[in-house]
Amino acid sequence: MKFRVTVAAAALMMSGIFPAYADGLGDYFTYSGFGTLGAVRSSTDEAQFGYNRQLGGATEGVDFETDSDLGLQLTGKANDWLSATVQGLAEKTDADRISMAVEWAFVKVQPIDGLTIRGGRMAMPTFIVSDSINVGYATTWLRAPNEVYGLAMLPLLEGADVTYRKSVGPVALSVTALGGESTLRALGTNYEARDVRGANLQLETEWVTFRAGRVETSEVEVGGTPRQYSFTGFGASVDHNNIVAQAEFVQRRAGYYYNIVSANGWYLMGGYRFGKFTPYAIYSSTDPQYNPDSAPVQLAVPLISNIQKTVAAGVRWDAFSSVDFKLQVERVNTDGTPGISFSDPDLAGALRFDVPITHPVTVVSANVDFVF
Amino acid sequence: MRTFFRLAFPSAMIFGLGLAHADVVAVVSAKSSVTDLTKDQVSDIFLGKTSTFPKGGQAVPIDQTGDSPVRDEFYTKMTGRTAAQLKSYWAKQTFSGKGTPPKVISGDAEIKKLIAANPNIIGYLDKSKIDATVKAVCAP
Repeated sequence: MKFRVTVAAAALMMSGIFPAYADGLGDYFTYSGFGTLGAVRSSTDEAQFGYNRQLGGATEGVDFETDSDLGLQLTGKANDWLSATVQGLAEKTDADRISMAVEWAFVKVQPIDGLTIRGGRMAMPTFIVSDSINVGYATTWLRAPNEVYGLAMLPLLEGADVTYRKSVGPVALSVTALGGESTLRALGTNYEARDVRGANLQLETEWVTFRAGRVETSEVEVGGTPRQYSFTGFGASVDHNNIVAQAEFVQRRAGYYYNIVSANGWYLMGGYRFGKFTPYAIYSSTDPQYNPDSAPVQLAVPLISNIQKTVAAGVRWDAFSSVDFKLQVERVNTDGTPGISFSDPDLAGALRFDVPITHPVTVVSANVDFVF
Repeated sequence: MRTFFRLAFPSAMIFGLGLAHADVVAVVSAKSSVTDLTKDQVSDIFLGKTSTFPKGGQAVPIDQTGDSPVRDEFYTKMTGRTAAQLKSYWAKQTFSGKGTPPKVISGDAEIKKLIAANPNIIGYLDKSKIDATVKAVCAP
């Protein structure tokens, strides 16, 4: 927490050096924000439904904290090659309440056209939509499928990344390399992750985007011993005429804790835009991976990887400029395991994430997303 | 035959109205060395994917207001994106720190004045609004 405050103060001081006037094009501060107000209700009282390893969430009573968030972003642009961005985000994380944190604070340098270097705190590029994942207005679905997006354990990067972007005819290619530190969150506990490295490759045409990327570290500090962790992902997204479709496949792996952590996840999303209405459907699945050589470890700690499959159907309605409404109904099947979307804040320690869900659960959600 | 005319005539009129839609063109200063740009090049500049013209020189796009009759047509023809898609695209870019949408300038006259004065600026206008101070570089 102390570190977060320090980063915020440094970022604010940094942004202070930029001219705060808006004369001419290019020299200006921009202030923008986004938010979601969401209500969720689930059909079970066995445990609470959340996403992205939130502690607690929706039960048979309506919950407003699961999907609601509010983000504020300040960008200071000194000239056409130097800028700084700070983003604060209030959302519910693994602390069973909404809290405010500095999500990003980075300085961006573009020395030549196509080359971008960033340093500071930023989103880890783990998925096809990593850096706008909290912005409901920017996505078709009500919330990202937890069977894939809930698997990533290193959400933020404190370090630097370099991206080179080049257009070859109608195809835009971008390559990113990153390095730094992060915090790994598992079962409500934080672990320092050092020497985090990663690479990201993206191919984009007017209507299709392909992405492949990997993030890894061999220095996650668990009980004084460095442990290995990696996350690899492949994805494609299509936005053509009125068709929207997206699919991703990810692999989460660990060395020593292989059988607790390792899992494959994938989803397929398809939708069709009828004017202001975009109905869509998603199928998503997490499959834990098992290696008999690591079996004894499995007995000591609750599993982080459990089976979970969800079928979801929803609709996005672009009601007003800058405001959309979404409704989503989903059926979550954990096959009798604790799954990955459920927890019980009334239990102690890691047991809070280890409650078996005996029946498939129906979840109904309604969101209002806005940007300003 | 009479039925045919009765049906065909009004639909021809409706079709004619559709064609009478504004003819939007991308424009730069008459002083600029930029000549012809492709749709993809204009699209890259207005979507913030590049900040330079293909043959060099900084490119600064400026936008018409949301209620302008040419704005939707420009983006649909140049980038293949509808107003809603564009809004969502910029939300994604803005809140991932990748870029901000072009500055919005109100009115054709003001747009023309800015473009005429600065060879780095690129905008778009209805073809009929072009005069000697600015020139068309891409007609989709």
